[in-house]
Amino acid sequence: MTDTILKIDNLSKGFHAVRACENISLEINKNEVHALIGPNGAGKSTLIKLITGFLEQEYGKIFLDNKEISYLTPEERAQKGIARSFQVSSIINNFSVVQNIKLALIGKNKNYLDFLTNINLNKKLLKEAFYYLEEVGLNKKANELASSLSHGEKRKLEICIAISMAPKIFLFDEPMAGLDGESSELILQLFKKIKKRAPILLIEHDMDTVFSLADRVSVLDYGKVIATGTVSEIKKNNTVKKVYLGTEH
Amino acid sequence: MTNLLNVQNLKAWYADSQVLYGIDLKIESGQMVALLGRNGMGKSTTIKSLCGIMEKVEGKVFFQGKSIINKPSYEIAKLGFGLVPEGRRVFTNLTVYENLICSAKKGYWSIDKLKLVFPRLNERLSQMASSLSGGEQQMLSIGRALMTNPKLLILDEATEGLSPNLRNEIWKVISEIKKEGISIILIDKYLHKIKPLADYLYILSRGKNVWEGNSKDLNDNIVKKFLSV
Ligand SMILES: Nc1ncnc2c1ncn2[C@@H]1O[C@H](COP(=O)(O)OP(=O)(O)OP(=O)(O)O)[C@@H](O)[C@H]1O
Ligand SMILES: [Mg+2]
Repeated sequence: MTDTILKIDNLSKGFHAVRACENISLEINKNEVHALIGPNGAGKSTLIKLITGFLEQEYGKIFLDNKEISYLTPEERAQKGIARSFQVSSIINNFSVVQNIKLALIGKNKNYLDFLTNINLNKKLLKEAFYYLEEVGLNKKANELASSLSHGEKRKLEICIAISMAPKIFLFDEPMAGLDGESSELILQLFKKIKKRAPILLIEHDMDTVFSLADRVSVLDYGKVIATGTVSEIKKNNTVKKVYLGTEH
Repeated sequence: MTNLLNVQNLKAWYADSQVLYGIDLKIESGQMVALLGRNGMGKSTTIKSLCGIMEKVEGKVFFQGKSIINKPSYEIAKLGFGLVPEGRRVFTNLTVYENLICSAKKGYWSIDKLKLVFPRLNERLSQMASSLSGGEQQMLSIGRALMTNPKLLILDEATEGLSPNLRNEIWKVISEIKKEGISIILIDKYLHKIKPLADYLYILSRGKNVWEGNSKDLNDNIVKKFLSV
């Protein structure tokens, strides 16, 4: 038995002359928020794309729950439990909030048959959707159109869609971008809660967020992992200070 | 001090729904003014209205004494507005270099000067902007606005998505620009960075002005009421 949920082994990917990811090895463990930080262009988003299967590695392997997933399609990986928040929103604007969740649930259960008649009638589905909406605190907005939600609420709905997939791991690429202090704080609290369901790999440039949320931090620079450790270890690391944190943190 | 921008009773709509209900702003030459407020309170819409990007606007906007309301965005840009819009917008079908020079004007900022701030961009001049990382696109968006050598630089969350040390670099650039006498309108979530730099601050809430003053008047009660959790 191991607590490792996602294991990345020697993963590499380049674009012409740019080595975006170079021999990256990482382990994401049960119950942890694992932050991935590093300079702009260090290869963080590329790594997420390799894990989700939107890009293919040159070499190296990815394991989810000890099973290799390196050559599965993005859909197959999602089905196996890899959830990510999309940079481009996955919300359907002219559906209500609860319909958005129901749709995600139908997709998860592969229950596409007659879902148009089912979506409004199926009580079990509705109950399940409300369960997840309560978890993120959107139950009071369940029947409003998704388009009417504020910026922060939309982000919550996206996270809610990810949670409703009951994934084995969450991958979040700058989920707080564009959010004000208040909304960021809500998302931060939400992450503290959902990490118990599945670990979170979090890319984030706001150090207050990273330092208050991360159990472990890995630092990428020019496609390589230059450090992995606890928040206090990372804060003390001189190389990390030099290439990323600067003098203020 | 001479007035650069004077905004009176600015209203704006997205389709049928009104989002600005009469905003007033003033910027003197060489001043840095900050727009503050929570998400969705009208900061970016105000910026878009000033730059001619909103379809439906009403009110008065004077730039160096001339009315610019309802002028098309390219004419407003030509008057000397340099905009870094929210959400890292660059011309994705152009290279880094083409993005930088397509709207450039001679002045303090040049490619040579810019490469000191963003060495990464200089390494990637021939890369297509679409394939840049998020933060690299943000650098390009800032670089492009600087290269226009604007009279008024408008930064809408310009430090978003940048690494902590580069963010600090941007704050240094902003104070440098200010010293050059260029006026700035700034939206940013790092209030502790804004306060020492801003000459005047406005807080917007639900499409209206709710507070204005200078940094030392912005006390904790006001921050709590209009800005924080
Ligand atoms: N198609 C491509 N051609 C050339 N270079 C590319 C291409 N795609 C990505 N890159 C480069 O790969 C590097 C890694 O990009 P990536 O998006 O992974 O960075 P990142 O760590 O997520 O950065 P940020 O913090 O700015 O989001 C960048 O320098 C980027 O310009
Ligand atoms: Mg990225």
